[in-house]
Amino acid sequence: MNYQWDFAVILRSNGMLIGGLLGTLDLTIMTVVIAAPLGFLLSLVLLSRHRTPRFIARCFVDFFRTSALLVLIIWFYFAFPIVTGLRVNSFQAAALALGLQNAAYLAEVFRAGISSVAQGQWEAAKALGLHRVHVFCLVIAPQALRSFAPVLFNVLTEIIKGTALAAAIAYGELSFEASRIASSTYRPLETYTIVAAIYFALIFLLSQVFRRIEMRMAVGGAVR
Amino acid sequence: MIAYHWDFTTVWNNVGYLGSGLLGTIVLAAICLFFGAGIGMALASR
Repeated sequence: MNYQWDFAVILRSNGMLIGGLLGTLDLTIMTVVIAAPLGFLLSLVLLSRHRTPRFIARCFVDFFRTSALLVLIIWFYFAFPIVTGLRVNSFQAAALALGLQNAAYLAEVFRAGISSVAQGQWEAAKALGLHRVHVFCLVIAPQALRSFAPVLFNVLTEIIKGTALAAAIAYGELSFEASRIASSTYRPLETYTIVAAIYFALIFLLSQVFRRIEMRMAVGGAVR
Repeated sequence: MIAYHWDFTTVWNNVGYLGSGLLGTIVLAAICLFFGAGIGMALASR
């Protein structure tokens, strides 16, 4: 097929692409800020001996894990203000939807990581006379972190890619800016090729950083 | 609270579209699972 590729037109819109990239990073950071602490709290509740809070946390996790992200984003933008009376802009709606869904994913990741630490570790630490908080922070958490660190990177990449769905509610992230550039330049092929390369570069860079961190954390540098 | 009159009857009247959409989702998911698992296993066994 004869097609004249012309990337120069797209590169002239680099300001919009950079703005979109910053929008993507903003949304990713806000999602992590919501998801990480909430996911950790939920994992502790899921592991607790009390049935009622454990049931509520299980309902929350199951609901958000089984919901489609695009539907959640649209629901938080259009229906959430009607149900609660709180006004949210596109950034807040997308951050809420992404944050709550990823909190549910992270809750399962943290719960599995904490459960994977042998029961003997708890007992040994308690036998040393450590307080419950110290047992968790000094003995259990470092071992659990080693087991769920690779999954954390997967969740982070899913968050970055999930931000693209915020374009559905006109939040100015990379995909939304790409659609604007494509419709103003009539060059969708070049635009989305560049945007794909930006996503690849961003996630590849992060994967290298995480790989280094994983290698440092692995016992004897056993990660290939 | 923003005043809004919820009306689910319009959704119910178009339930056929939702049904065919759901069927499309399930078929697409099955195809993705089949090829994803195949390619994934092929890559992992290398």
